[in-house]
Amino acid sequence: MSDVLTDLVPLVAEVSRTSEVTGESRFEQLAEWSSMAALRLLAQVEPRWNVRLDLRRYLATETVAELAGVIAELRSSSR
Amino acid sequence: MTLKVAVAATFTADGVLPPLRSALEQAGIEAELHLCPFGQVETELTAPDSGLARFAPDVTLVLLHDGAFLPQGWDPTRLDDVEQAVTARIASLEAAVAGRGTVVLHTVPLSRVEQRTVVSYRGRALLGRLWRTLNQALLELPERHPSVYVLDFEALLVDEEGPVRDDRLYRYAAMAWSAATERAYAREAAAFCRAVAGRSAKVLVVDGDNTLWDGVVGDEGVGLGSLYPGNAHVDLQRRALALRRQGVLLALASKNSAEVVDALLAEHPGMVLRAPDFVARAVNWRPKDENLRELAQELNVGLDSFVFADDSRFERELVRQALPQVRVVPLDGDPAGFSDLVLADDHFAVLDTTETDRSRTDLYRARRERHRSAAFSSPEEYLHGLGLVVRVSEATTYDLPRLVQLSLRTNQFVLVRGAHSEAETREYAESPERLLLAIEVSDRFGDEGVVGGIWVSCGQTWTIDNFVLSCRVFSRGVEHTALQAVVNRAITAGATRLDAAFVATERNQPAAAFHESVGFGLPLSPPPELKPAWATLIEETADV
Repeated sequence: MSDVLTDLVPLVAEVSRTSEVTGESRFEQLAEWSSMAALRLLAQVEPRWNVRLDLRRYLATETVAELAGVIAELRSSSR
Repeated sequence: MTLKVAVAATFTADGVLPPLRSALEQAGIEAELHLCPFGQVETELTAPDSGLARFAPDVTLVLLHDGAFLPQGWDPTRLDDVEQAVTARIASLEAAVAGRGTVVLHTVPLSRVEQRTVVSYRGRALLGRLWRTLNQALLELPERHPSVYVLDFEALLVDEEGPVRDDRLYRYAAMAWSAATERAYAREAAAFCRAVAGRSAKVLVVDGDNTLWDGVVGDEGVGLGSLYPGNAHVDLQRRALALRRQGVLLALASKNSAEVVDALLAEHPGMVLRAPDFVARAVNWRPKDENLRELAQELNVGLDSFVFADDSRFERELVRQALPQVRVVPLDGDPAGFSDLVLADDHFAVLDTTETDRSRTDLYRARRERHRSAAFSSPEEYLHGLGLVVRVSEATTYDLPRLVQLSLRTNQFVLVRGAHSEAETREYAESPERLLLAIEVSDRFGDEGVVGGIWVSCGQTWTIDNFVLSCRVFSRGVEHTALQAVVNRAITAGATRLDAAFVATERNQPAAAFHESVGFGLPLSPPPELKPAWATLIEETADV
């Protein structure tokens, strides 16, 4: 598991109020998922990894692992 | 007591709730939150069957954004039209918030993109003026509506990092505030709620060496001048003096010999604070937690109303562990930051200050004096020599703020904690079926002013809905003397019985003891004699 994914999983779990989150979890299938939950997660992710996501791309990510990949990519391109 | 806090916003404010919840928790406020559907502020406030009305909040936070005032596609060459739209919206807001209990508005920041839409500097100046007129109109609302409050949020945002609005969130979800703005608002709103809940700090206990002054007074002397770092310590003294003038009690807790500090307070030309500014000085070599505990007892103020500011990590940890109720302000780092550290968390924020606040230090000092003089004679003898005069009169408009403040500040002698809002208290003063009495006390040590209030519902049986008395004066017979005034009035009005509400809290044992000692519902025939012999009761009936 990538470093980003390790830290992202508990954030997603907190925001969606479910404990069973893995890299393969699909956002839309999480119990408490909604567009508001997505924005709450965004508010945590951006300062945590010091990135700024394009909202279109963010909303299009389907799984937790995919989002971790997007974050990692943004981090490496900003270095 | 759970505080019911509602949020009604002109934009999607879901993101405010989590930081608000945690800020309230940190402030020690147990709260229940309610979020209204967005963009329906006026409807929610005014419709009798709205979700907001059903929630029946203690506090309604109204959140506003610039888009709620600026018409969509506003024309920068027609600022007159913009002004008209803005004025109309304020009028509709004013009509909605009037008489809805405690409502909190705030000044509104103008987003950069809106400001930059005007290209001429002259035009921007006009828009700026228009926008300030809007914010000024908001700031004027409390003058006309006593239960409306306005946070000067626009001014506070100057110190926040980043833009007020995240345009991605604004366009996608109509969220007008960035996460940082939401946090800043939550912090301010929580401090306000703490004041509403009557949990504002009342006492600032502050260290001396390297805190109020630079250096160690007993060793090398002190630095207090117009140059850094002395001037940073002088500024802290000025801030403390400003707090004292607004009713905060100052106490000095310094490990020194008393003579050295006395001389400094009396003689050093650079000192802003002088001996009479302190309600008490604990200048000795005892552990500071012991001094604080004793001070709380002498002043009859709970330790949870204490703020302790010290530069020494050792002292702070000692107090934090021994007295976890005390709020500890760590004066770490550069002394230039000390003033801000003391004020940043808004521990002392209150809804309003009154004339009594200016002289509170003197009143409490006189009270400590009484404490000491009591030690020299028998209590009965002492009380007879006290010349206690209790004046009970119908509250005037002038007394209302003080009575509301007392009902919020008082934890010990209060029959029902948080029973009445300001608007409800006003009703007691105005309704013919109700009575609001103000209690004033004086004795040979001085005039205490208004120290208590009684909220009464009249009828065949009179019911005391609340009775509040400042902790400065109870246990001298004031409470029974004031009750005598209610009994006398009830008998004159033809009532046959006097009852009194009571709700126990962790802290109101003195009120419980009083309630029990009287034995409600008290039959009014034969006329009960409650007033102790040493007290004089003056009854004033304003409108008979």
